[in-house]
Amino acid sequence: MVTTLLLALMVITPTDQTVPVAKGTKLDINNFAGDVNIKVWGRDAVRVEVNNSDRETVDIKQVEQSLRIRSRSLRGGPPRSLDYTISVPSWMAIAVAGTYADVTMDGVGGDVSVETTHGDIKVRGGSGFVSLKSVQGEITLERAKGRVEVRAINESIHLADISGDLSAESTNGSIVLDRIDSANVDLYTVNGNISYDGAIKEKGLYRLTTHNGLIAMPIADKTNATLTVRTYNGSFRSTFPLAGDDAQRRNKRFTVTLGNGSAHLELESFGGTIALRRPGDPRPETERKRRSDREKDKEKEKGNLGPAMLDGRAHLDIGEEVARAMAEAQPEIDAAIADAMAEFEVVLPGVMPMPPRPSPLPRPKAAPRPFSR
Amino acid sequence: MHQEWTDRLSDYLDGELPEDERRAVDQHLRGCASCAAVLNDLKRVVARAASIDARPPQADLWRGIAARLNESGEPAPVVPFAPRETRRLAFTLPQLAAAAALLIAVSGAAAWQLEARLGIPGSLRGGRPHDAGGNSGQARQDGGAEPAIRLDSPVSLGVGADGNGAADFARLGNVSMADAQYDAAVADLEGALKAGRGRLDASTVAIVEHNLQIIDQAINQAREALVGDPANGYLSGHLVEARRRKLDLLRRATALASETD
Repeated sequence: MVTTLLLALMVITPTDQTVPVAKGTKLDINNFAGDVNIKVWGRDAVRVEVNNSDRETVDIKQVEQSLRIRSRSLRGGPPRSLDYTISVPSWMAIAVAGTYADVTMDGVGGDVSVETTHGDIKVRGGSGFVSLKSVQGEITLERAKGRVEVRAINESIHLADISGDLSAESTNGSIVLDRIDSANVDLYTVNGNISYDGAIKEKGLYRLTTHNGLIAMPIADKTNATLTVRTYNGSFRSTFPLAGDDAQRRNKRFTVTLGNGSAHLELESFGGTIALRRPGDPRPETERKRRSDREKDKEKEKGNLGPAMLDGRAHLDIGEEVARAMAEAQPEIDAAIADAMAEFEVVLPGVMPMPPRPSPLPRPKAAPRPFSR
Repeated sequence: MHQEWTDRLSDYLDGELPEDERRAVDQHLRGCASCAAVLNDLKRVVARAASIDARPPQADLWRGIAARLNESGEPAPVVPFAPRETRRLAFTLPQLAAAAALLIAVSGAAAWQLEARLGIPGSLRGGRPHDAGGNSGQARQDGGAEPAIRLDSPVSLGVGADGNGAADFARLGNVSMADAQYDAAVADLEGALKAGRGRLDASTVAIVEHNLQIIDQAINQAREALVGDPANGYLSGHLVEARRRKLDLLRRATALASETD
């Protein structure tokens, strides 16, 4: 009954508005909860499509050099979860902020700034300054150029086809890079692996640091670099012979000059392995994750995220375990919410619904979406 | 039950129906027992929903977090949740009721989760236990553990009058990694975070707590290694880096708390 009433009371009155924009205008959107999908089209205009109801309004305003998009509830309080699809010209700089927002961009060509608390960020494109931040959510960036800064906390980071200065950091997650073209790289995680893929450029500076995880780095045959390797409880291995002092290497801290030593390469893992390989050699650390992701996808399709998922994968890092546990908990949360709603449906006099069955890890995104379609 | 009438009951109860429709509903209710019963049900939901805002949470999540981070054996004091701003009723009554059910569901799950996670094994959880809280300002070459978040710790720089601490953490941009300054900065940020924790949802609190614990474990492992190898430049640098990350995370969490209002 309540659900019926809710649906009956909300009339979906979607917004579909196109606003012409002058070159240099920046898109500035804040979405408390919901998806933000941004794609590129060939017009100097911004099209905003939102699934709002008559209970909230979407304000699209030109404020100085920015096109600002905000939603608000007509009854006060935060708006319900809204999904935006926005078409922008390729030159447009974009800033997205949200709390429970998944953000996806495809083909964008200007500065990009995304900051969300709970939500995945997937960006393809961006140039100039690209800054992506999420507390709980995976961050994927592809085909960006310029200065790139990525900050995750409890999830992993995947960067591919990036050119320019690069800084990426997570606390509890791995950092995987593919086809990087950069002379200035700074990567740091406390608990996770770092797997790099890209050339070592002349006079470049590469600093890869983890406390608890593997560092894997490709080094071409004729690289000119000063290589510094440091570990405490970890180990070092290389798929090719490396000149240097064996005693130092046994001490787990050594510096080796390759070629003319032009670039500086610092690899540090307190408790993990530092592994050198040749470009093109297998990357077992990423294969393992990809295999794990594929199996997770299969399990999701089957609707089964049980403990069997962990069999044979003792190397899953904590971040992956947390993500898995959260996904595992989602059906229980949904069931608990359904139970609570059912209680209201019968409206027991004088009795509030009992707290739901506890579930291991509530998935954050579920919280702000009680009134979604 | 008559769908065409029950669909209007919520607006009827809100006083949002036009006059002619309100009269029509009045008339129908006088002759329809089932719709009158639905209206009574809705009124009961209203009464229940109205009491939910003032209802204290069944578990003070932060207390558990503090106890775990502290690990000193001293029970963390019960810290009441900050009073919430009174907001105008923003949703229709059935929406409010549904939201209340959802909140109960999620907060119940979160409370259980925090306890359950105490037993989650992980490579970083195998380290030695934390020592009793850190001595702010005292060099810890003795391998003393990273000071855990103590919600009862004094806030030496003070939290802003608005309680969000934004001004305070903004001042902490360039903190030396020397122990005294570092500990003071950490204490300030923890104080600011404590002041703003009521504005963060339970899952965010859990994530921040979990990641602070990971960093603290790393710091403690590095410090312990330094005790055995005090001249090791790598370990010193590594320790500094880890401590800087803790400050960064605290800053970010505090900023989140101040923004979420």
